[in-house]
Amino acid sequence: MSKTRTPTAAAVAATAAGGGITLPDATAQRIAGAIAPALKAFDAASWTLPMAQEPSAWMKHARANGLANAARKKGGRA
Amino acid sequence: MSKPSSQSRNDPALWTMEQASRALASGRISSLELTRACLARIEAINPKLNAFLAVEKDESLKAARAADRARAKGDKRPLLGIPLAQKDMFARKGKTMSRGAAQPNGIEQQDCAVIARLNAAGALNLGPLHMNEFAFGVGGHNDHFGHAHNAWDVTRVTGGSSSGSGTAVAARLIFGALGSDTGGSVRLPAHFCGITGLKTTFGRVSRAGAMPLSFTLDTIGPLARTAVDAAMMLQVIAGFDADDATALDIPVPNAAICKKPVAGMTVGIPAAFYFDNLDAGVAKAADAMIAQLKRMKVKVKTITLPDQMRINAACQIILGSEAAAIHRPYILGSPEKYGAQVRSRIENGYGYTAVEYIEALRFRSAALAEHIAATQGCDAVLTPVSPKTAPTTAETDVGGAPGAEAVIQAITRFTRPANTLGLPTLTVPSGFGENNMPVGLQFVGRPFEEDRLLMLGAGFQRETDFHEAMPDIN
Repeated sequence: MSKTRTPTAAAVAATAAGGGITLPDATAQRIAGAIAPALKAFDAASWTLPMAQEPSAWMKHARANGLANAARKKGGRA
Repeated sequence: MSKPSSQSRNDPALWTMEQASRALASGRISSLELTRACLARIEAINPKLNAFLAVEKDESLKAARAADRARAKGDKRPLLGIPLAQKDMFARKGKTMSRGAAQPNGIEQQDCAVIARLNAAGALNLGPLHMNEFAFGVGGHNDHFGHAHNAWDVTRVTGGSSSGSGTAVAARLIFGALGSDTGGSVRLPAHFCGITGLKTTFGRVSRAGAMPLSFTLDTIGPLARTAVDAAMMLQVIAGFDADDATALDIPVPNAAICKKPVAGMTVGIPAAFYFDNLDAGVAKAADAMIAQLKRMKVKVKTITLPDQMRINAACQIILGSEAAAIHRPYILGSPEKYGAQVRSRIENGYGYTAVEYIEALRFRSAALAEHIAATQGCDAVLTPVSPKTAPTTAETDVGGAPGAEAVIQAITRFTRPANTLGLPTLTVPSGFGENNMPVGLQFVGRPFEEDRLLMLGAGFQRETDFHEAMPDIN
């Protein structure tokens, strides 16, 4: 079940304040509306990194793929 | 649309970089003549496009003469004497880079990595190019320097944020240009302006000394007239760099890869997401390109990719959070110096929590593994770059209005997944759509497989002439 956070203007203002940014109410309200679709689509709370992917290091997949591709080229393939 | 006539082909500024390079090597033309040809076009056409923020005429001519002298002494560097220009976010020693912004910036003490590599290869730099403010935009709008205009129709957007790079290459003002791509900023100008654009794998090209927008999404790549030209630039700028810990030591494709045959290669077509709700002209170009690939004996198969909406959302969270962190001192210090849209987009990043940002980063590991598994057996995935051809500047000039983010997300929905996953993509001109504006489609590769994309792009360009079409902007 989705546990998506629906951002409120108050929550946005509080988060920003933690970074030293003071937001007017209207700006906080606008930001809450702007980021809500991404938070809903990403839904971090309903997602877990599989243990096989720990420690999280997405570049290791990229590097492994690049090295494999280079090795294939040496063997004469594209 | 117009194509070079037999007479205009005598204008060396209309050659491809490959042709110009051959002509220089054979002594058929000098760098000085080539540079003068480009400067003449810039003088005549740039006022209509606003592609250059400044034209460094005297320095360019001086550098061209030096290149000719070097060549006479046997210098054979790969881009010797080729006139290029770069998006104004790459540090050049002794110059101030605007970054498309009004925020003050000092004189740079050294060249950034990609500029140093282009200089070492002998390339010329005719001047800084227009860009969206802080590279944080998708249309080529800029409140400080004026908007850039599309060479195919000056009432329409160039695409951004590499706006000057896109329209300058399309108008044949220069032979190629660097762009940056954090959410689509190489590919959107390539698509909207009808040129070839290579978004490189994250880790392929050093970002050292380049203006950051988002640490873990930013990539640098060439905009050029052909896939071969893009490969020529990639060969120079790519590779390990100790000054950028993400620039990996993985073999860089040689431009000669473009000559390899493509028969027997395999292209995947996503079963969902990328072909939904396209404008008719974009859909028609995509169908025609798939048919052309089949005629070239490229195998085409339907594939199922991981949830692209979720991958897009992760991009938005990461980009928002990282840009907010980078810009925090400016937001605290002089927020009034931002344009309305850029300021509002940076402010959006202050709404995400640290946990949400970190979860989005962690998600990339699993999503990339899924993507690699889903594309096994494919040399590339083919998708549109955007559901639409270039809209007008006016209809996309949304500033910081409440609906602005939705407009931007709609334009970039097909480009952001490659940034989240760090994938390379090659955009190639693929036809014309609504309002006779160019359509580009992108070959999306797996990490560090630019070689396959360049093979496919060059193969497609050997069989089609969309990349030769020129805007009638003279």
